[in-house]
Amino acid sequence: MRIILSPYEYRELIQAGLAASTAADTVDPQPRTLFTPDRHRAALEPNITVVRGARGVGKTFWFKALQDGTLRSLAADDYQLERLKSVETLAGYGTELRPDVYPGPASLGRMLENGDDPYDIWMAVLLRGLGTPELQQLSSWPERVQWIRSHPDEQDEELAAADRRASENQATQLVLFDALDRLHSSRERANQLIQGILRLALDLRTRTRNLRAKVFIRPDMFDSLTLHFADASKLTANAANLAWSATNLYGLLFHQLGNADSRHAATFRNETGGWRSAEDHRYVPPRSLMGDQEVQQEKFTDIAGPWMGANHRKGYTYTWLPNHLMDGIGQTSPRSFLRALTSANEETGDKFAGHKYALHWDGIRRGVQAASSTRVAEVAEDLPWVLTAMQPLAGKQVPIDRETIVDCWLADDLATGLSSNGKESNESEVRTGPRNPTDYDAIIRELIEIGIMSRRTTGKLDLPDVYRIAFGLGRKGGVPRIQA
Amino acid sequence: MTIRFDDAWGKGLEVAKQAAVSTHLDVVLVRDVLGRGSLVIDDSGGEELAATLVEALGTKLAADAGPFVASAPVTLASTLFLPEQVLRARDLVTVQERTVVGGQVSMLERGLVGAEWLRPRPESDSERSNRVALYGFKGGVGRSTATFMLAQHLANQGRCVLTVDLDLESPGLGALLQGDDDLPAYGLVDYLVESAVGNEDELDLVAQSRMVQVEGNGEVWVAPSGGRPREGYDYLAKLNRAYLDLPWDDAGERPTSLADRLEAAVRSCEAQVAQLSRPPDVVLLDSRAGIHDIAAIAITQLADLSLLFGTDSAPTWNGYRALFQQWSLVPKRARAIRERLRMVAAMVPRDRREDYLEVFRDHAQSCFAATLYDDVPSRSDLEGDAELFNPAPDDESAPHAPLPILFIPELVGLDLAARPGWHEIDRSAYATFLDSASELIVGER
Repeated sequence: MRIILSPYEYRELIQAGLAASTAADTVDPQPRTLFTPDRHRAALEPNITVVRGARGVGKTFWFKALQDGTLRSLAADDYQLERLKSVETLAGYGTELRPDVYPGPASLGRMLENGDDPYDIWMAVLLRGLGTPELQQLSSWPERVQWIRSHPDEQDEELAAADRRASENQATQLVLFDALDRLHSSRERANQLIQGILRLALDLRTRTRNLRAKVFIRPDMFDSLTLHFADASKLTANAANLAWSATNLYGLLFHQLGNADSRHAATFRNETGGWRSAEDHRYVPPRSLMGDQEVQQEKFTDIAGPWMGANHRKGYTYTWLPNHLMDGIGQTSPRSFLRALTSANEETGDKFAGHKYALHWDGIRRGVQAASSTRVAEVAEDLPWVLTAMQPLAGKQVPIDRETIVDCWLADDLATGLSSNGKESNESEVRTGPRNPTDYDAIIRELIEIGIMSRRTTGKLDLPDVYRIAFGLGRKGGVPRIQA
Repeated sequence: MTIRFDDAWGKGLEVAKQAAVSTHLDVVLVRDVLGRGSLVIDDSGGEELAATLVEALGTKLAADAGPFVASAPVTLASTLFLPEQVLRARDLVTVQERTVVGGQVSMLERGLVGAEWLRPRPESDSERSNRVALYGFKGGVGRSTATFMLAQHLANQGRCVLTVDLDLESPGLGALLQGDDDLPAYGLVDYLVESAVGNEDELDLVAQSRMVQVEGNGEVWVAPSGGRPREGYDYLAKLNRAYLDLPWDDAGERPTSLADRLEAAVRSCEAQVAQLSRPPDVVLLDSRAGIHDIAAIAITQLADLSLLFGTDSAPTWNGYRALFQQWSLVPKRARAIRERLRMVAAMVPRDRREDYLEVFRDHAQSCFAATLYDDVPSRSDLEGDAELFNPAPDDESAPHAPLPILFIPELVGLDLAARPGWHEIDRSAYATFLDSASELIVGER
């Protein structure tokens, strides 16, 4: 006999399965919770160099997971991507400050001021990582870069030797770059450093067989680069995109439930059926639960009921939830999705405990509100300038005129606020600012590019609710709020 | 400055609100057929009102509303012969509830046309079938053709569909769905005229459509506005009498308002289909265009869902805005009706479909937001925000999100009924509309 979880048991399971993954701090990937959405396969292929991904879609997650043998092997199995098992990785840049492995923002800034070529900087990082003894012996990055500049022949020999070693091991040597918005506070300087990374990446492709770079980068940063070097189009052409479809998001939910640290997880797996048991107590959901909308909708209906109200005209829970979490460019971050669910779960437990389903539609509505804070916190982490730019608009209502926005910014002297953003004394707080902090129309355009705002055909600007709510803006309407 | 009609109403309402505070009594602002306002103060509890206060309110109203003030600006309910005709009138609209500081403020429109837009929808009873009104503020956008297609689509899912032609002024649906000879003997106008004198029993009002080809177990029935054309059948004479709101009969039992008689007519059609075949799963009400009482009744009182047709043009949006404003006067009404509305973008140009729909959507959103959506204050606490209804422009499930029907040049200026086989037209133009409308109506594509 099939055992079906009760609404109460489902709430316990959701609580156990999603609590950790929605914590504000980035959680390091774990075997049990490693989820492999179909769309992300291309991003892991060793031969793909550029991986575009907005804030919160998993760039850092994969950057870390690829450096972990166990996780790499699990991903290789899930994606049937055997080559991933014979990959050796080293970090070229990342969120963590690791001056022994790569230079930090302060050091990078000084080297740029001294006129060092960014290409040489990253070559130094790569060769040091590959074990070139001369570089290992030097104690500072400027010295290492100096060595690279003065030893072009040795540089080539070292690369060729590393290529040979990798070939003997039948491995691909992968150098990974992440957190490119933490290279430098000035967009121009950051762009120079990124150009250096991409030139190196292209060089590896053309000059070696087994050395490859993988560069995780925000789409707006990548797209605004003007790549001046030959064959740059090769990088653009085979770039992969990290994005989450609604099906991926639900796949993630079911994966987390099946792997939850809860006595109900096994019941849930039985209920849905077809799970594959992998190493380390990890369970992989059947393909249908990961990718078949009908199967997913049926399962989610067991959890949340079919509709966002008393009848079908109120919309379907399955489509309503991800749709209402989308930003201006149609993206939903997995963390905001899970946050909406945990919050809906708590809300239902508190207020609608007797409801027929584990999640009540009013709870889901509240969940979407709560997810807005999560999304804004995510963005603030990488793009603090967005927070600075949006604060003066709090208290306004959308749709809003361009003139009103600019007036708010002028009154607040945003240009000054943004330029002081770059003056962080603490290296770990360095983030790249907007392309042009003094041109307010350019800032609006940039906010549109990253999905914070959207320009309507009426000429007015709007904010998707996932940002509007937590940024403290209202929405104009003709029916006054009910007086209490 | 000269006070015009538009200003007078708002001014009058302000005075009414002041009166409710200064008297602590309920106040009704009545607007007569010429647009002149007067206040009726409910002193039926025996309250004593100072004559100076009453006079001051009258003077204030006369000063603020200019020529649009009645000869007796303020009347006390206790002096009226039949006070309940004002205080408990069925069209009374409450603008402001009673509070600690003042009485309730209501308004009463004594207009010629348009009162139906303000009448509340009766409590829906669950036994009723699924009724959908198809309405266009401007005519000539392919509404009847869409009704035909939708009826066939739903019938192909195995459902029993009744289509009702409420476009009494320019009937057309009946002819689209049925040849003249196969029409029932009587139509909606007959019911409206006969029911006014209690003679509506045993009118044949429905016939199963022979024109709609249905696969499977579905059926399409038609209730035309007029019966089979024949000698001695005078449509016009009946039409002229159909719209009347009749005084209640002596027993006070017979439904006599136009809305009540229309409701009874549709019920009667449903019952006849049920008797001849099976109860209809869906009733499609092809409403007439413009601001007309029939349309008002169909949308506010007969239908569970209204599909509002339009092209992206200033007249369309001005029209809908005017219409929605009627409801937005009373927040409670706006809240009750807005989620039962859905825009249909008619005659969408094929070659620039995406751009056109984007513009349409934004115009529709502006129109709905300004009149029917809740104002969401900024920095509202998260709790409150979730309660409010104001879907974002791109919300696909919002009332303003258009269901598209593509433009079919062949249909322009064509007398469809005279062209057998016309419905072999390009169906792909309707594909999205049919799928989405069907999902809204019956929860299945």
